[in-house]
Amino acid sequence: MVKIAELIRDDGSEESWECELVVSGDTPVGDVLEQIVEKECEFVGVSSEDEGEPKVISRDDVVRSVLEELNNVQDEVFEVYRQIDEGVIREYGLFAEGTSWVEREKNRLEVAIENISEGVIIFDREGKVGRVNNSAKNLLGLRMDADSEEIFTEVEAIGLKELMSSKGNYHGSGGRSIKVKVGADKILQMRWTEIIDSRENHLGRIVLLRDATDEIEVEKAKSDFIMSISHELRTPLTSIQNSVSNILAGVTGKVSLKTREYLDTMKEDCHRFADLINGLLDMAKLEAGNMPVNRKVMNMSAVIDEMISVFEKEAESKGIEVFSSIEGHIPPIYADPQRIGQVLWNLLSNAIKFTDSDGGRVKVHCVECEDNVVTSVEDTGIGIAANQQKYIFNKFHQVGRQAGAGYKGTGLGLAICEGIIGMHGGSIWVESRENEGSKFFFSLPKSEPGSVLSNHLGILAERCRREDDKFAMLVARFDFPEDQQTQLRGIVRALTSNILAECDHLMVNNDDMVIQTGDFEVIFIVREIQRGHIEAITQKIHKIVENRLRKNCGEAPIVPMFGMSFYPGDSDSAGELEKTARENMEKMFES
Amino acid sequence: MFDFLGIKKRTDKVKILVIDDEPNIVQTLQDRLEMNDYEVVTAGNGKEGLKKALQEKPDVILLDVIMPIMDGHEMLEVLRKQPDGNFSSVIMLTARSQTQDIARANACGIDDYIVKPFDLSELLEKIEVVVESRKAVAK
Repeated sequence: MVKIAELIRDDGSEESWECELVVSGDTPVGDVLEQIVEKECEFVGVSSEDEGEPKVISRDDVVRSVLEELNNVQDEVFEVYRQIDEGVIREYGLFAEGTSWVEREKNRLEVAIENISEGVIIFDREGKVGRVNNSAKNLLGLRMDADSEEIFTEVEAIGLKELMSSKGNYHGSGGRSIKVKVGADKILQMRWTEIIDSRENHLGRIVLLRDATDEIEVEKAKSDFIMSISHELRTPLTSIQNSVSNILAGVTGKVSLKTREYLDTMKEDCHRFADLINGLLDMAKLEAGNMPVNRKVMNMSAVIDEMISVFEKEAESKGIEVFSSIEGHIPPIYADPQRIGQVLWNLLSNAIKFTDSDGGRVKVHCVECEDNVVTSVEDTGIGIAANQQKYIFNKFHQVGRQAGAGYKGTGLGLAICEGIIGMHGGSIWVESRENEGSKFFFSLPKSEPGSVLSNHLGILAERCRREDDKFAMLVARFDFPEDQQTQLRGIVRALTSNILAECDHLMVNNDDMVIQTGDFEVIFIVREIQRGHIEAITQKIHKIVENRLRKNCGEAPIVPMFGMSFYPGDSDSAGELEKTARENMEKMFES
Repeated sequence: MFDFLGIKKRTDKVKILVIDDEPNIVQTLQDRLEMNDYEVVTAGNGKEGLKKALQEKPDVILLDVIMPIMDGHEMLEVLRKQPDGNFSSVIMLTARSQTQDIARANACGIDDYIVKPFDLSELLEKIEVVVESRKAVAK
């Protein structure tokens, strides 16, 4: 430990600070910073050997001042630098002498930021544009000498501010990423992270921009190719599957036992083939960012139970025990139950496949953590070698025949799982030991409908603004008389979730969404991708509600209320839409 | 063989129009449907399908999407614009479950869809659901 500073107060009391920092006289400030951060020094002490009170500067101050320095904001910063610079303790050899050295370092950082090919925009604590490098100006289509006014206008125009101010998880950690259209034909990839100091103070945001136009075109071409091939493959497969099904159903007459066996195998092979095609298609959709994810409030335990029952027979015939272990109360998560089911299906299928018969165990565990719900599928199977673990989530990575009889699989399962979990803002990972077993974990963020809705609205508004489209918000609420609360509550609650499930298949467009926002309320977001789309969907919703009411509620005095608002049109801000929709509420059907 | 709800003889007469450009798919669908006592008419492309739809006024149309001359989407759009164009219920047979395709189909008013390759028994169930809801509306 090195004593780096001493403070001798007026009253004669002393305080000194030490740190384990080894630097020589002319170490650049960047390196010093690195060391400070690395060695986690609390203080960097500065004392003048001549006179005056030694200044004590905390590490955070130094880090903060470097950032603020980049924003050209505070004069005190320069003062600090100047003081550090002037107040070097020669004996402790912390800093080099000379103000020009500080200038040099400052310039070094500036040059670095100016010259990287990614666009950099730094927002300060208050959300004001602090710094924009040349690449960013280029990518945004601004002149090199654009002033902060023009920069700000452009930033707002591409919806950056609105997007960035919305909360919600898009990626597990590190930051968020999104594609934004600029001008007629340029697409930028935007990544942003918060700048937070060690005391968790929010210092600002840094946004990185990259031109992704070519990339998107290539992805689209790839994905179009796979889509059309999938169609070509599905047609003859349908023909074969139908024929086999018909023969088994007796269309060609009685079927002998042996023939039936052959046909059953053919049916299975058809399913396998269909799985392969679906897997390829899912992968293509994920890569093109085109996979529709229909989120709703769902319960992990329900999906877990459902998937386990799917594998019950197979596990039993293999002598493997499959069971669930739900720890405590699991809060509902906001995710696509079909896709999450798909993830569980893949993990369970693998677990059973790679676990030896007789005595093997597969356990599905689920627990609530601070920000997420973490689910795991654990088996007592052959495990994964340590050096293989980093490859298993890659596309087309397959485990060979040593896994035992049965087909290899497409090698897409885990890649698709990763894609799906990623789209939900979660993470997936594995712990495994060869010959002992594997445990696959995935986390899904706990999100409540309100923030997901406003997130979605923000992004959709930006898209519609760019592409000159419109979308509608439809609020459906099921009112019933107060005094009949106790009797009708349960009925209406069931009605609401039934309608949610039924209307789900209408929401196939990526941008469409149906979300349950209350026990008796559902909100639809429908984007007009073709004339009449919103109207068609609205009509269908009416039909479904009517059918459900008649079927489940009979004569009960339940009054569905319906309110609609459009963007743009009813409101300039996506956030105002809900208010307008609620104001427009009226009875759904004429009584 | 009893396929479906154990009912072989139907008391109601339900006419189904199958429109698909793959002859084998049309054949297998026709065979299965007739075995389940549905009356079946067929067409091999959108244009022929449109004609038959207006002529025969089927209760249910099983409509393929990708077809030459006139595809499923176009045919449906044109059909719905005709007087009486909303008479038949439509179940779309699609090999592509692209979101845009389904959204577009929804805009023209399909009653359900199924993705190829499908389970014939699942399709039969969907047909039954559509037939039931037609009866309910007719009341």
